[in-house]
Amino acid sequence: MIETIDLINQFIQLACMAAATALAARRAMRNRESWFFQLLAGAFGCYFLGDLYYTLHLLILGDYAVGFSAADLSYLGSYSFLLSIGLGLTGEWSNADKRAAKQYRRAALTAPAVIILLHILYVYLSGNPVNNALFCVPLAFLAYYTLLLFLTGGKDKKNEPSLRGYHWTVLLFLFVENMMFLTSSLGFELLFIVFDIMMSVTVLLMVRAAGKGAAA
Amino acid sequence: MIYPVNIFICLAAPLVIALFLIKGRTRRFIAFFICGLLACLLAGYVNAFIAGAAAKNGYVSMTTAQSMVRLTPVCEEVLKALPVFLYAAVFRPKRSGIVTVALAVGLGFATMENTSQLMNYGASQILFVLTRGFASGSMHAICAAILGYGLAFVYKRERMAFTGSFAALCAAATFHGVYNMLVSAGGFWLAAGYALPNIMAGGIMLCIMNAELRIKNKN
Repeated sequence: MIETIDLINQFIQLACMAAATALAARRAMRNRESWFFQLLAGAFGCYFLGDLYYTLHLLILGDYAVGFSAADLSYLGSYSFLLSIGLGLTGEWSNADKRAAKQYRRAALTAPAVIILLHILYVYLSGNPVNNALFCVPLAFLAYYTLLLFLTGGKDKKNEPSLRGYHWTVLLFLFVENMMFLTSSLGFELLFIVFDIMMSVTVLLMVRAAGKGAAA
Repeated sequence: MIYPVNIFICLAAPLVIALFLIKGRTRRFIAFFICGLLACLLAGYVNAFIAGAAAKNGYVSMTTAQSMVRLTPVCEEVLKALPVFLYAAVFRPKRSGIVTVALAVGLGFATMENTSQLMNYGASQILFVLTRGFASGSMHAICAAILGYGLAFVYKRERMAFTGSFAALCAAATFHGVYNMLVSAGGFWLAAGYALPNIMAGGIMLCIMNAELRIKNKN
């Protein structure tokens, strides 16, 4: 029963990821000079490939991909693309922006601290230190840069205020992803599926927020 | 039994001679094509070593099919990426140069893989040889293109060079994993696996032709 629900959920997520990738790629094709949408399309494309691998594993081999697999690698790739966006946006800051961001750097450190603590909990629950360490590093950096951009974006008008909605959705993405890890570690299968569906919605929200931000 | 090293020597020897006779971009292409052949040769040994070491240490015991789906794509893509990363880091070339080099490595890899496959499993059915040859060739070319375009896109933007390159490598390895998963199954999935890279390659070629036509019309 759970397998069937999970399979249906995977198909929904695949459709959402494909739509998000196509929308971001369309934006990227329209504005070839913009690296933002090209990297965003890469992030969604990577996530889509991971979901495809996971679904095919379930369909063809009849079981879940246990341990580290190509699906996990694609999720890591997706986080790296999103992290690249964060690094790129902070890299475009002027000296005034950097000074303005200085006061928020300490506050932004709370995000990676939470991620690291959560991953220590996952290691305790699942007993898999290697996988969790691999996921913890990019997620912690992504959380730090996203929170920093979110905090500075609202206060300093020069500093990409229009992308605040996008940063908010990335924070939501991180929350949902971590809730998926937690429910998976605790063995709450139905709750995991609920968060998986939330992830599909979050991804669509990310594209919408990014599109609005770029238009503004 | 024909050893993979023998196949490598047979394929690489005339190309090595060509390196001394040809100059310019063609020489660079041939040099990295040989790198691709070498990467394929090494991939066979590295895959077997890692699978054996993992089983020996009790970490995970894999059958050949599981190894093909889980381990092979990652090993092969990393080995294919190494010469491209080295080229980008040392020579700091133009973006188009990175894509060309990545494609040369990918095509060299596909050539060696197809030849080894042919030697080991025979070539009695021409249809199978054609289907597998084009599918594997297209798949390696697409993986190389993902890596090449990804690296070319980020490597001059210093802040995102590392994360972007890693992400491109992950995307290429996962695409390879999906292909291997499909072709390791039988029936419909096998047909879908052989069709997927060819359809994607066709789509990419159409996009490139369309873009070139647009540029021509603008001019």
